[in-house]
Amino acid sequence: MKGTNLGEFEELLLLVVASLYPDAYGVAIREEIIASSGRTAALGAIHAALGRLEEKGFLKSDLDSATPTRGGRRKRLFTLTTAGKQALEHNRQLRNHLWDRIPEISWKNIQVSGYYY
Amino acid sequence: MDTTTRVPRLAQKVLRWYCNPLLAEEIEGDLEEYYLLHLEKYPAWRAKLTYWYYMLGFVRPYTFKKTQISNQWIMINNYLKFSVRYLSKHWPTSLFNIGSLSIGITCFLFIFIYLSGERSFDQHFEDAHLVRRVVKDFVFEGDRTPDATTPPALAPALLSDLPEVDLATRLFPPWGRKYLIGTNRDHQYFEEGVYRVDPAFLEIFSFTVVDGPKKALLVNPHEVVITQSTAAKYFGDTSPIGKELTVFNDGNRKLIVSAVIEDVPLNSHFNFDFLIPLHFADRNIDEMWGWYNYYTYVKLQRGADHEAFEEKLQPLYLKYNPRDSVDANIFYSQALADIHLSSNLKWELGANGNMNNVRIFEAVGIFILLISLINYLNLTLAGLTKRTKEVSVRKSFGAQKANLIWQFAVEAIIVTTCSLIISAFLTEATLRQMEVFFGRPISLLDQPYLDTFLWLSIIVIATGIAIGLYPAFRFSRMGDLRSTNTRNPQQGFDLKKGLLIVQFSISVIMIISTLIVYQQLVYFQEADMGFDMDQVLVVENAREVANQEVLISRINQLPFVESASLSNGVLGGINWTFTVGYPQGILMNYAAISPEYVETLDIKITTGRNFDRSIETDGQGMTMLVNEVGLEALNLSYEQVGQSVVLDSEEDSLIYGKVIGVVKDFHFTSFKSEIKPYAFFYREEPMTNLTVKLSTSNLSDNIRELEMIWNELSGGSPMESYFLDQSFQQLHENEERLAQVLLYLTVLSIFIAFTGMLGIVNLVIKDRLNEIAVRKVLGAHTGQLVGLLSKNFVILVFISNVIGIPIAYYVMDLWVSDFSYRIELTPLTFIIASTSTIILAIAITGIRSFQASNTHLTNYLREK
Repeated sequence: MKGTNLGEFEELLLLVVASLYPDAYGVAIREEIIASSGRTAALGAIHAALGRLEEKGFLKSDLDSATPTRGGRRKRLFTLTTAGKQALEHNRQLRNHLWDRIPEISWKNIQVSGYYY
Repeated sequence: MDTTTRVPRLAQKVLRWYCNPLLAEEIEGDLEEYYLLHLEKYPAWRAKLTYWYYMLGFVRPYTFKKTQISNQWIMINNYLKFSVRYLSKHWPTSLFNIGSLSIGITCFLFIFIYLSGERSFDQHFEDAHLVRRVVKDFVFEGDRTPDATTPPALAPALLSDLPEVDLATRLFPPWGRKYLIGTNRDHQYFEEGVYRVDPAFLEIFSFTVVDGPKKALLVNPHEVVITQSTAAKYFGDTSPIGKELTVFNDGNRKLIVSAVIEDVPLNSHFNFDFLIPLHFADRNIDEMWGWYNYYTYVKLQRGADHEAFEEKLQPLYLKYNPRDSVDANIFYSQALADIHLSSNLKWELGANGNMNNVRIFEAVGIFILLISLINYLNLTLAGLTKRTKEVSVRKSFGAQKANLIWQFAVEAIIVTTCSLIISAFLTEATLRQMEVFFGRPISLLDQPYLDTFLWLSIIVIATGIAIGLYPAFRFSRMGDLRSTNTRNPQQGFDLKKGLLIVQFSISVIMIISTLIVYQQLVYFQEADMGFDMDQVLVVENAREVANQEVLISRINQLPFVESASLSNGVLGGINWTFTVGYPQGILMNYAAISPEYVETLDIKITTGRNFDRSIETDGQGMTMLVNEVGLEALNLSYEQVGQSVVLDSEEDSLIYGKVIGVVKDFHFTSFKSEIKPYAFFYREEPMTNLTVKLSTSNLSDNIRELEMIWNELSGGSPMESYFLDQSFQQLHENEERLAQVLLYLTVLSIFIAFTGMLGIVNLVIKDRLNEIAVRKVLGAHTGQLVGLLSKNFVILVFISNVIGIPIAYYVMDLWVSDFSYRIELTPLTFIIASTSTIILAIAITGIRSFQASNTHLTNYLREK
């Protein structure tokens, strides 16, 4: 089912939201993505992806109380849902499982090309 | 907060305008937070810019206001949905409509682009409107021959006498001569594009100087200006400035390259690679009024009246040539831009275009577009019956007049837009294919073609909407009940018939025109030239061989050579003229030949004899062979052939000469002009042209063997040769191109018109299937039914023939009257055109109605 599979960017977002708890909102999420992965994403794109994840049920959100730094506007704070946690775990298990199955010999071959570290 | 730290107001407004208010708060908050963050790090303008940038990043569907979608938007969606459904349900008709419109638009665009190329000749020069060419009518014994050449003394006189003349230049073309130019003997080419000009040439005509000085060119008699591609040909990548070129067949004259200019564009009546200053050490051409072998171009002062200039030309000529006042040549001028299409004088610099052909192409382009639009209209009208139910249901559900109109308009917009897009791609693809035809890469995206395409799009879409609206208005006037009950409002049928007649008339006209153009071409190709030019090789630079007698005798030993001879001048190319005759002189074309020339070209001697080497007087004085027209022009009878007659006078003494033979008339130039007097003289002197008649068809091997002999005797100059029949074909290049394009376009127009008819036949048959079935059940034969169904269409095609034939006759009669030697317009052509259209109509309608009446009509009736 498509809804349960996480895209790469979606997974990144979920992880960031989880790690920023309880202060995960647009600006903070974006800054964290830039800081930790070194890639940039448009603010609009992040909002769109967050909305999509909320629709899928991986995130839930609430508006907090107003702060003066934002001209008195409230933030929308995101938190992970159980479904979101499960989706992340599912992804992690799948990866671990696949990592464990990689035979030692396959790394040897890669070494030649110089990309192994 | 002061203004510098406040977020950009406008950006905030824009955000609030499009953004769903549910999301707006958090977005605005995030944006502002970033803004403040950036204000600390960057100048205010940059923070503001980033605010804008981030704000625009939110222009995504999920942020849009959900309530913004209005009823109108919903209705447009609805129209679109129904249009697409209708069009895909009736996909054969839609496909056909789009296809024929695309073809029509593509043809129109293509023709337009081709013609704008023809019309753009010489207009790219700066101030082209100020530049004029002075030409004259050559007057002789009351006959006027329009002729592009002028004497070399004209330009200096114009400059000194007429204040409105800003600049003037003479141009001396190579007159068929080829210059052997090279950097050394191993790197030499024959060059035809060598113009000798005055320094003002480069001031009048704004050629861009690519390399070298931009001013004061062509002043030094030993300098040469070459074009870019010529520079690459001789000097490769190195700069040629200051380098030397040698003209090997002009006393090893040395020329120093002083500048490189851009290549001459193809849409210019000039065609040269080298410009050499006009300079003759031995004579002063500035006062020569008697030579007519220069072209004269002037650039008028800004604001000068060219009509006033025009009027001063003739008095100026008479001032310098007072003796000529009785039979004076008549001088006038032409705008530079008119030379290519409107000027068709004797001795043009090159083959010009033809205004008649341009007009024909124009008409054809418009015709094809018209036919395809008519198709669309007709099929829309014919499909109306189908739509009465749909429209009635719509009306019953409360559709207003406006809704109906919109529905039909949207359909029309879809069909026309699709066709426009397809034709844009088709045109672009065709243009890519035709790069050779145009001589340069052309794209639809170039100006002014893009503009044209946009205009055409507006016109086509508007016409499409108009066509779509016609049924909409018809239906909206119609009562609801009537449209559900009665089957077909029959009023539309007369219009359909009328349109079909227009289409078929156009097709008939095009068929006839194409047939006639082809007949004329075939006539050119197969006509008796009066001499035999098959497998005749002409060598143009025979003068390179010092001992021509040895050359001829060596060539004659080759087994495949039937005959070889020498001449000064070539049929279909250059010949000379002189005045002869007594008491009245006539203008006689002539060429000097060796006696075998008559045999080489198989020119028939009808009276008298050929030149004879053993008769000494044959090679001297006024002893000549003339053609029949020439004999008549000299006012001589056949009895006087071979006798000594008076041919000219000088002061008081009469000059006697002899016509020793008369040859059958032959065409020595294009069929567009009449056969003129022509004379041959026999001379024992070095000649320019070697003519060889080959007997086998293995031509390339033969030429190689000839070249081997040539190279032994010529001392380094390569042999320059061509086949005589090819040079004659080039004289009719324009007509051949016209015929080819016309053929394609005619086939297209017939295709569109008849498939359009097929579409209508289909619809009519579907409409009348009930009637057919009942008739069949009641015992009608298939044949009777076929006759019943096709009768109407055949009558339409017949009427179209009645309309089309006189128009075609009128137009094509005008067209052929341009040629001195032309076909007669025979009834057969018209009969072929009309019977073929009628047979096609019978075939199409017959087959379709035969199919219809042979289906299981009883089943059909039972289902009903």
